[in-house]
Amino acid sequence: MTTRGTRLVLACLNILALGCQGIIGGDTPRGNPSNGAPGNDPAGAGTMPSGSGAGGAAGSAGGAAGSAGDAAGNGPGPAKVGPPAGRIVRRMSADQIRAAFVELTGFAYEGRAWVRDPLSSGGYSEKNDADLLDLFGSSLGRPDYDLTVHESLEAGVSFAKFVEDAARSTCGRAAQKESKDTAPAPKLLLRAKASDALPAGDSAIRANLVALALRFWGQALDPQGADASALVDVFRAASMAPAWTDAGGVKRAAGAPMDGWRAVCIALTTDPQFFVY
Amino acid sequence: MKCLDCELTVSPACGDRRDGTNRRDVLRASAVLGLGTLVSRLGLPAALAAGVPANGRRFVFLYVPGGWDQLLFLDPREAELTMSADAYKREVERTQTDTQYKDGPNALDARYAGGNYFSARMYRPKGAQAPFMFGPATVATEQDGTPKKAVNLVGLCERGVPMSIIRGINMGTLGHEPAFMYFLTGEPAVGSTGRGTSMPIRIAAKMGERAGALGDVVTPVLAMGIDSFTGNKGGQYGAFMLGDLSDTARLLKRDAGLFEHDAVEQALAAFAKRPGSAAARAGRSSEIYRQLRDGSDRTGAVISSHLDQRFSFLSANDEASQKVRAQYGLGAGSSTRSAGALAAFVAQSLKANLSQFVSVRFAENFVDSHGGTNLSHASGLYPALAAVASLVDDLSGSPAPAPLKGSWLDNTTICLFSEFARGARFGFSGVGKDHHFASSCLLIGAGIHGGTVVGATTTVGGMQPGVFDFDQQRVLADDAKPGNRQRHILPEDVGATLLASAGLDYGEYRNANPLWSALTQSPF
Repeated sequence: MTTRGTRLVLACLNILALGCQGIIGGDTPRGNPSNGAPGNDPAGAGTMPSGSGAGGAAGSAGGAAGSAGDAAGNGPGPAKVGPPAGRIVRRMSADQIRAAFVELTGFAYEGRAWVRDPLSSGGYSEKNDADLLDLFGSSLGRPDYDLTVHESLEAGVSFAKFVEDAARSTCGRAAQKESKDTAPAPKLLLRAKASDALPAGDSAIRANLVALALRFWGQALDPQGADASALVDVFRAASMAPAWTDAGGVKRAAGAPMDGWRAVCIALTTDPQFFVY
Repeated sequence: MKCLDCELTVSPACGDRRDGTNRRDVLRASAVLGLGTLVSRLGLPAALAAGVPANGRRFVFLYVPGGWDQLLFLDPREAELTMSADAYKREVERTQTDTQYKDGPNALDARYAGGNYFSARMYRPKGAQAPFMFGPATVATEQDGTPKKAVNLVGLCERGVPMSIIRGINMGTLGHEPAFMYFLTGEPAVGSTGRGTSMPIRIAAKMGERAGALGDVVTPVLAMGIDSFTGNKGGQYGAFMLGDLSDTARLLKRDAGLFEHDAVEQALAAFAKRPGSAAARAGRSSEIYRQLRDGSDRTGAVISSHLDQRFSFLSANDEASQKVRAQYGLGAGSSTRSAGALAAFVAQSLKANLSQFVSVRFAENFVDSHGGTNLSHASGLYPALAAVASLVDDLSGSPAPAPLKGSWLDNTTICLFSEFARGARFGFSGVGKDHHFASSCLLIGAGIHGGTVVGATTTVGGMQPGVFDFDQQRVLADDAKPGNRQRHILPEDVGATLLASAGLDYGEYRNANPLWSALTQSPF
């Protein structure tokens, strides 16, 4: 009786333990840094470098990319999208977002602003290339570690405005750079050439979209799926746009494939999937 | 008339709008019924608070950095005005302070500085009664001493704008940053590091607990050139920090170079709203996805509404911008950090629904005049006071849109403050005043019982904060021994007062007591 009772207790404990594993360890396609090993990424797109001040969650995001990269190369198909069971979806921190833009596009979001300058008589000086996501980090929720030590991960209007501007600026600079030279480590042209255009280059373009989605979102898209097709629509609109003059009076040339990749980059980096993990 | 519950004499001028039930009426009625305590326990506070129209209330915090001279503005000496010449001479010998501004290098009559003359006068608005009075820096004059034809706080008070002066606030420190942070947060700083949560964010968070209390604005809390502490409040109440007026465009405008062709913009919008996206699948159940989607939608709406044009008033030539420049005395060459520009920014932020809680620092009006005279201090302080007067004039003359009622000022409470005051005596060389811990602040607008003065300082021999009886809402005699709920007024009491003005729970500030006599709100 005692033995049977002990077995019953042990069985219950086992069930509880398995249940806990299911919740804590199971079904975590994102956010597991161990899955993010670059070696598992045959596409070479899921290697989101850590560091650069991005901290833990950048590692998580990198892990996500690596995990999905594995799935893209060898796995059963599109990865599960949406919040993983048992964990609240979080927004990237201010520093992680900044690091992600730098890593994915090769550029920080820069602009003209007054910045602290201990060498200036007034303590501030105006810079044309101020690192805006760093400068306005507090508006993105970054604590000052003086009074506040908790990062605010809310996403209000100021957050949306800054990151959308950052996306447009950094993607524009990345596209401009890749249209001019053959960068040794391209950020946007991973599976396509700058000359690939629709409709002839459809397969190369879709392959590049899949690689970019893997790199930016950690998601392995079906090349013929709805998301990939929606991105193709964005690419088409930008690469075939007529010449126009913007509100600042600057004449813009008619669209080319590189404009399409700039727009795709903006679409990917303004999608909520980019900011959450 | 006599104020029923505070025993302060107040006048119908300066917006004395108190009506209906007040604290004394309630206590009297409760005493008659013998149920005072019981009624209180049964929820009388909530019943009283429920009648307060806090919804949509705006708050403005205006900071004059450097430590202002209260003899020149909110705490002038009027007792000396009625003295005989001999008595006044003896008083000056005793205190070493000429509070009539008539003698020596610190005389004010017909002295010119900073584009203005000031007169050795104190200003009691018509209809107001003692001790309500403003000092000589409040009004710029012509050379002959007649007030300039410009809007000023005295005139606004006479027009019925509710104003209440809080005197004798014990700032507890003589350091600029600790004192500023103490006032802002209501918690004493640690060294020069602030603690707690800024007053506007405390109020915003408290209003956020009440359905419909927060307005439909772009960003709830704005801070222009001034520190802000989110503390333990939600990130949605964290201030959007701006350096100066030009930073406004970062929030409201997108550079032309960052826009794509219309067809591309439409394709991007369609992509963002595609039905099969992760955000769409997460639905409304995911708070962060909802926030991201709403934030993006609102950003698009803000940009397309061209709200930024409301803030280009310094240079734009449209009729609205010209009107703003005229109202605030701005010219094409005005600095984006000038007091007038900052006051105009506050008004535009409220009227354009950019924000509900706006704080600004009058960066160019530093009044830390250790080596200055009465004249130089007044000329440094006056532009800020003139800008405040223009702001109040603007808000009081601008109808607020529905569902708000009345003017914008009827829906806005303004708190004008500095980190501390300056001592009464000049330095050994006869000029310059050092820091002094007994300060004042001015409350204006919605919820304020106009024409009231709360608290006091002792004579200029010491100019110490008076001990305040929070139950009786009056200052004790200088030689009285303080008892329970009798102490100096502290910055947290001002914070509690502002919360109470909107019927909000003021327990947020531990051990603080609202200054009820400054409010139209009955105690709860």
